[in-house]
Amino acid sequence: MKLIQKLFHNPILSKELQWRMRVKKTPWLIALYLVIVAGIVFTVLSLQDLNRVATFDSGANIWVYTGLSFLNLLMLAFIVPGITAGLISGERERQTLDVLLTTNLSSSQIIYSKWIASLSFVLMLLLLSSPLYVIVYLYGGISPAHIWQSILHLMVTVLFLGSLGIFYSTWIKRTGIATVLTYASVAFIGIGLPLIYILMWQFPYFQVLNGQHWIFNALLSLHPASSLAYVISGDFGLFSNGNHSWHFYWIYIGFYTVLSAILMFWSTYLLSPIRFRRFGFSKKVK
Amino acid sequence: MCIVIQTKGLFKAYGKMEAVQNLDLTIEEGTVFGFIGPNGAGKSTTMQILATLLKPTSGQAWVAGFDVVKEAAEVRKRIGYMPDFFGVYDNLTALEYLEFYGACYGLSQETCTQVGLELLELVNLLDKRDEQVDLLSRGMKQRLGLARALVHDPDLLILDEPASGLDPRARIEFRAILKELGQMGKTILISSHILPELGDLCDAIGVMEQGKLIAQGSVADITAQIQPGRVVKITVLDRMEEALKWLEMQEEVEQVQSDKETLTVRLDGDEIVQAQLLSKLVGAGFTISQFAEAQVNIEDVFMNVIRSHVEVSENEVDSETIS
Ligand SMILES: Nc1ncnc2c1ncn2[C@@H]1O[C@H](COP(=O)(O)OP(=O)(O)OP(=O)(O)O)[C@@H](O)[C@H]1O
Ligand SMILES: [Mg+2]
Repeated sequence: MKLIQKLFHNPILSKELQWRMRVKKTPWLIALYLVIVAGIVFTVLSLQDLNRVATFDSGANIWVYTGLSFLNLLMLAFIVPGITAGLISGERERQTLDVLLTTNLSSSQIIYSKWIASLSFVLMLLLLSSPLYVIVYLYGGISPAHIWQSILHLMVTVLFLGSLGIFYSTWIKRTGIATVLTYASVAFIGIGLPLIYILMWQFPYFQVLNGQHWIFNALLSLHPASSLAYVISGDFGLFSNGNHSWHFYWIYIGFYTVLSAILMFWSTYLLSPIRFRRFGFSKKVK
Repeated sequence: MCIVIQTKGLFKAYGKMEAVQNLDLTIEEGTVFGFIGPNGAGKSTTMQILATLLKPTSGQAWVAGFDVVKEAAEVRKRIGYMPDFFGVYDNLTALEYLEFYGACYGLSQETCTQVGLELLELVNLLDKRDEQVDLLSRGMKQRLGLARALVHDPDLLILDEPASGLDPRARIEFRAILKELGQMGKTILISSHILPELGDLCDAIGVMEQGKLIAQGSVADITAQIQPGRVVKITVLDRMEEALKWLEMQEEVEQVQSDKETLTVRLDGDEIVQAQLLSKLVGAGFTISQFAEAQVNIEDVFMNVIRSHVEVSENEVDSETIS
């Protein structure tokens, strides 16, 4: 409890949140986000309504739900890097970082409070879009397990994208380059991994294996869409032909949680001006 | 007296560029220490090391007895650092700006506000408390930066060229604030290019050149180091020519120059020699209306220090090539 209190009394966190709320474009960004998500969901739902006048098909609703989750993922992939890739390099460019580093705040406190501040904004966006989930839920065909699994999946993705942005922001001095690199990494995960997957199917060696190679499993596990689809629509035959022994969803959750932790730790290391040498041996002066 | 800053063999290299070389510095509590040197001398680098922002390549430095590398957190609590260039956050008012940094030092909300207002008053910015910091003028930002360095009431202030970009009036005001802080017992390490300003503000100065501290001590000490002996200006009421000749014959007088009314005498010796010369002059029957040590311009001192240093190193090179 004390830890939470300490976390929220953090000056950077409160300043950052205050600042975001004062920026005039914030309400517009929120509105735009909701309009896009809601617009697409309602369009799909009404189209479905037209199609299934005769038979009530709650099975198809799962696809609407999956689509909504994918849509959220896609939006976050665009929003989170934009918010986080400038967090540290922005301070550096504004020449406020040195002063911040001489205060009592440790570099890990600076990193974590910035991370939490930007992610709480994103989580707020997600929270605001939750009524849409409820609407889709009411159409039936979705279990509560689906809901919490996709929420957990989104959270892990957001945390990972945030730490990726912060990492580049700490490592690279310029916000522009850090932003480009963050988007490039996200594009690699989102588009690059499926491309590799498709390319591999072209090789006779892998065709013979019929997707039974561990690389196929790894590629499917690490992609946000396939790992999410695995739990939501796993019963609907998407992956039933492959006989996959891996649980894509949990591997995804585990892998990106660990990766986020590593990136955050690494960022802290990069930020501290006098880098600790807890690992390895310090050179002995003769 | 407590030693606030101490460095031993401090060395910092950026690749092959040796920015600070074997710096040994000792600064006692309550001293206002001026760091002077031309561009690229290594002043900012030294200050960044002391402010725990840069790791020295070798050597050690302590602030208030704490090692700047191993005990950085302790050091940070005790210093207020103002970089040569710093930015401010937008969307914050002057008071909020100070409150934010107060909070970064772990002060409570009420203390932050109270301290913020006190400091705004100290730097004469109380009327700007609700203005956006990014809209303040350069000089105001500079003063706000000084206030910010003071939020946690540090014992040591490290100010890197705080007066740069200020107009003459603002400079005088700024200096007055620093004097006030000095009188409050704070130790101040200040760097500058504007030498006459440091002269009457600082208790001691250090002259840096190409990463080396080439002279250190009080302004008077350094003057003595450069030109041993002293310069005295003498005004005699009559018999000017005679006095000139008489002075030239004295053993302790190295050089005499005369212009219309005053004789400028360079002495080889200290205060006692100077006093003896006066009594001898009076004894010889000259009517003295003025007899005073000449004020040495700190700018001259600085140029002399650097010039003599360059000459010395050139000599070294010469003797090396000969041998
Ligand atoms: N980050 C850096 N990377 C490489 N070289 C650097 C870096 N910072 C400083 N230097 C070099 O170190 C030397 C000392 O620089 P420093 O900023 O300490 O000088 P200074 O005395 O503060 O000069 P000035 O009066 O212009 O502020 C310079 O030659 C500079 O080029
Ligand atoms: Mg400098």
